[in-house]
Amino acid sequence: MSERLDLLSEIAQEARKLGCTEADLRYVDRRLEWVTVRNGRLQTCSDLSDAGVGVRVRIGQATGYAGCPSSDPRALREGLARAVAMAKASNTVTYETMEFAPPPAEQGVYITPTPGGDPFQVPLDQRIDRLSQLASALKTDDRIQVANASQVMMRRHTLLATMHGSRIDQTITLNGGGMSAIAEDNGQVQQRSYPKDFEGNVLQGGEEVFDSLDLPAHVDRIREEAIALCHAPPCPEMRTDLVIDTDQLGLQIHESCGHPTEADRALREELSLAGSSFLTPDLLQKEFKYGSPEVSLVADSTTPLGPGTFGWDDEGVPAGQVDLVRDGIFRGYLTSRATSKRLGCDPIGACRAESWHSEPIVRMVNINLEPGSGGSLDDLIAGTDQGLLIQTNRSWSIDDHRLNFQFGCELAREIKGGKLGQLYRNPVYTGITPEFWGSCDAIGGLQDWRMWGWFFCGKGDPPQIMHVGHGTAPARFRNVQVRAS
Amino acid sequence: MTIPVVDKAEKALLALQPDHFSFSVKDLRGEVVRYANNVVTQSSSVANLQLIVRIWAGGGVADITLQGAGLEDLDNQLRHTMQRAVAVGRTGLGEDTPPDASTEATDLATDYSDPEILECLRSPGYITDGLVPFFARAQSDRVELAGRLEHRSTKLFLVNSKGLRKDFSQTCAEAQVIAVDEHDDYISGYSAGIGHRRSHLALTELADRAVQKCVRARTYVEVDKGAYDVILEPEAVTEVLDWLGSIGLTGKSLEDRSSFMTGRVGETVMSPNITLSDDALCDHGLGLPQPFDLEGTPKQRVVFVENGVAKGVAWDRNTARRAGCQSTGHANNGDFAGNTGPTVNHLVLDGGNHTEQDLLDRVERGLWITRFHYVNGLLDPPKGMMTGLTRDGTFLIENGTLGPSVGMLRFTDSMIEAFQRVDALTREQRAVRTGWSVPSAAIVPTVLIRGLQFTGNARG
Repeated sequence: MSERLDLLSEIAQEARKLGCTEADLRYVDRRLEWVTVRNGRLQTCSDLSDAGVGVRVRIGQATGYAGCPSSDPRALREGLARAVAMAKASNTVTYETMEFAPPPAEQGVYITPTPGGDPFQVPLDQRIDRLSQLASALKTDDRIQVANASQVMMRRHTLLATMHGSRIDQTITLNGGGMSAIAEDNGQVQQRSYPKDFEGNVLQGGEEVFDSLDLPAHVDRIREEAIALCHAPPCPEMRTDLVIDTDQLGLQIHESCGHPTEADRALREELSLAGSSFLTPDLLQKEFKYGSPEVSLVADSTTPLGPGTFGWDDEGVPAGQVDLVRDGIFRGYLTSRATSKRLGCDPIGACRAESWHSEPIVRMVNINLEPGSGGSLDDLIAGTDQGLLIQTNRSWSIDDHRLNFQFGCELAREIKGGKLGQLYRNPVYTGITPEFWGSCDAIGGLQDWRMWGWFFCGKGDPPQIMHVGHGTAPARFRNVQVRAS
Repeated sequence: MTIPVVDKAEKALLALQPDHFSFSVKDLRGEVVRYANNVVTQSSSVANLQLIVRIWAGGGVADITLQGAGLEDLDNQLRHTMQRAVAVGRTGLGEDTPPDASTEATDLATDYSDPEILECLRSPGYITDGLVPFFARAQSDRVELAGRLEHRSTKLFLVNSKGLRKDFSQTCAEAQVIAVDEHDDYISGYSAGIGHRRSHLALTELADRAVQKCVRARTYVEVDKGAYDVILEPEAVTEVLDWLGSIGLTGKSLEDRSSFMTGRVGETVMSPNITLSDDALCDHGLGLPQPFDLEGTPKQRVVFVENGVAKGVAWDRNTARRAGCQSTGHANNGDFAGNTGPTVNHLVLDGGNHTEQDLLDRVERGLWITRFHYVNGLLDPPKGMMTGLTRDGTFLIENGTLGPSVGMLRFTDSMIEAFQRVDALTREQRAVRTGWSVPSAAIVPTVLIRGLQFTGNARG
């Protein structure tokens, strides 16, 4: 593999002769497998193998990028020429210099620990069989119309060589899955999922990640809750206290903290797809109150199991931990080398690309809510006089500045006198980001703190997907608007 | 015309002797320029080769997608996929529909390439030509432009073991313009265009439209939540229709019980002035034509709703077989890993007999909505319950006159019921980008809907 890294380094040096002040060559070899069993048949058995080299150069005031579907020397030199042409053309229409923070010169290797073994080595028929058993067990009641069980796993090998001396070799492995049951009864169609809908929970690690989901232990509960929801009344419209479980709170963090702290959004560079951010750079100097003093949110690309964990980002900036919100006060951004230069801070290592054909952009890593002193989920419920426990995301929507959000969940349960009561269907809660986080008065402790993986975070234009993580404990929010969808 | 990898893949598959095989090869060239704050921020050129193979063997079926240098180890990758198919066969769960030669006959056009786009792609960076006056136009109005300009060329080849060999070529030009006040990014306007010819993009007109909206948005009034008559531009309508396509207009949505069509085909479900179809052949001259899907089935025009009456849904080969009907040519286009089942990528909402001014004249007090942001249709899919936010140009209408901006509003409503309240549609339709990584386009008019329910604004 060092031969390939040598070749990338050689081409990066050749870029000097073409007038480049920077050149990064990034080889990516990615494998993604997705298997889904649905109602007793194999619905998805897909396998992606994707490899190539991304060339990024900087000339004068602009950058140019070229994706090369090959790693042979001739193709790389042709890719370098295309990247140079793109940069030169951009120089003619760019009035400002897009400066970068100084280039790192990093060398090293990062490999995901897989103590439970390589998931790609588990025979396919064994993996299908265990998913089939789960789906069959979910469907033992005639009222369950659809039963799904799935596994997703990905391995990405990246080699990064830069003109300024970085030589990095990383192999990241992700694994996970989940299951869902759709019940139809009493004129209603209702879904329950575990550990959450869509891809389930996909984390960094080996076969131990899938095993730790312990899906069989949750089959009966998921099936029965889906059916019970068909008979439950709709969530009443009211303002009340919410205890939000981690399977929803992870997405709340993602949408209302992760995206608005992306520096490119704050600098109005992501308007063409994602939008901007209410967290404008001037707020960094103003001790802006993002949330209550209980709330501390950290960008951490070193968290064990986190899908946003690595050794270096795709610009070669080392992984680390940076406060985004500390004790309720807005403290920092997710940055690339370009955006950090414009903000006058150091890059935190949050510039990532989906693959070789995608230019690295500012991305979430693991955005974690630090545990608090609220104890367990049971403790939070016991300490709530009147409210709702809300679990498992079903729908999500937030405005282009990341202020006005609305989330629908699969299930809500009344909390009365510290005890769980009535089940409600179709709960929706809504709010304004800083008011909502300002109403947080209790965050659970480490005992219920859990890492959640989101495999398909979409951003960029052309769109890219990225795997990111959100570690969180359950938390309580006072006086939140809820109703049924 | 073919390319070497097509013959190489076919030869390798024939040597493996599976029960059946099918594959597609996509040869993609593209350039994208992103800009923001009147500066080019990204400038990318990508060449990619993608091979999607399905192998039937030993009673099972397995897929593999190879991209870029992933194709370099083709023989081993195909052998591995064959082993996966056999492994699936051992589980007894490998239900699928083998390829069919009967999908061969079609006299549809297969070249939708624009020589001008192909010429641009031969000169890397030429795409930026034209952006200088673009930015200058904005600066005179104290506005900054953000957005994207893209050219791409795609050649697609389909082959299967039943003798099917098809190909088609398509080019695509796309532009998106967001005009933002230089001091306040809550003041903005939007316009966009897409087509298979470069001439489909009138860049100056797009910039003018976005800038004019931004300038108009500098005057602001706040409005209460509640029900409003709304005039939705094609971009806003498409956000909703795209979700409806996913949760309600395919055979899979019937299987999932998520479709509003379930048990209602033949019933009146929308206003009589709604006729909604999927028409990939684009006889209307707009959009991105596609003659067949990735299973080789010729694209059929499928009418979902005709004069308000539910007619049916779109099918791929698997869902059609399970339902006892025929594929309509709507197999997944490879847009998203893990996404299976039919997709509707060429929605057409028939136009009416009105102009935009006619629609304005019908509104005493209401809202003009340029586009929606972050629509979500998973709140209660069988009811078509959706939520989303306005963005980049939402204006008050009073007595038929367009007034000041009202900023951001959140709607939450059943869009099936909302489409029962469609009062009028414009004659003019626009092509609006749909799709995630594989661009497609819907063809949609501007629509007047009575009483859309707004449940939130910037204050909550």
